[in-house]
Amino acid sequence: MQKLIFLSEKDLIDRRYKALNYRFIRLLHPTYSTELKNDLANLVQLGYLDEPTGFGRTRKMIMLMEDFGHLFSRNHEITDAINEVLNTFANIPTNRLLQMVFKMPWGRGTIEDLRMRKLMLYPLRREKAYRVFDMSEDDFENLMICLSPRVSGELDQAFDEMRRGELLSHEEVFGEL
Amino acid sequence: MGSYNPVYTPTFQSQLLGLSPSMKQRVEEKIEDLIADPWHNTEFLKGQYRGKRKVWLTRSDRLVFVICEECRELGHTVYNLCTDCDVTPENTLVIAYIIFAHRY
Repeated sequence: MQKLIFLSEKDLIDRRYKALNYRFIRLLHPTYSTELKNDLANLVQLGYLDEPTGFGRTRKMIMLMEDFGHLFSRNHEITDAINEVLNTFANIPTNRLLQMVFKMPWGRGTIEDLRMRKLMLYPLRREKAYRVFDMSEDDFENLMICLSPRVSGELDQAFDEMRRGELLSHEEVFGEL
Repeated sequence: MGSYNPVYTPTFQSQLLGLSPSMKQRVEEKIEDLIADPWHNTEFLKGQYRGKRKVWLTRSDRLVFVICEECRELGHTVYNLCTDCDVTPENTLVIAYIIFAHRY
């Protein structure tokens, strides 16, 4: 996953498309993003990805993709670019893909030659971008509600109470204020 | 009170207890608006929160609720899965949660 997102991010930045916004550094395997690792952990914790099956999509993720599918069609140039990278690299066995990334040209040498922890990719500045992932404020808010661990956790708790019928009357709630 | 009967989750109640008096008043006024017309200026949440509505509380904060009548009409019972649906009156409004934008 780290390698495929790295290759996608590099391709997007080469095209000056601002979308993923991950920072990647040179590490042992040989590229790594802490932000991506945290995002994947959050998606697993929130029940969007099923880790035991290799980051398979859960029902929650399918619902999310259905309701926000218009964002992918609105930004099809960006999703087409990512799909192109995935179609090229996703079926390559991990070890071979790792070797390919090690040997990728970078600066005056290859990625293998870079010193450890060297910053390789970072978010493109908006003013330098030829295209920016387009999302309305309303879409952003709806996505944050679903993807924020704090908000989503508390909302789930409130809806669990609703499902169990643990509800209070108007007088119980506002009568005591 | 209008034609809808609001009920509240304990999570909402504990959120309310932490609010300033002016914000509590704002919430109560918003609930009065919802009781009169729960569809006015409200919209559905998305993703796993299908079947729940949100309304502006302040410029950045939202109140999340469910209209039982609408839930049954639109078949949102498959998302909301309330165990007491059979005995809950049609005109019930479940006020569930306040989304504070700073908590994203």
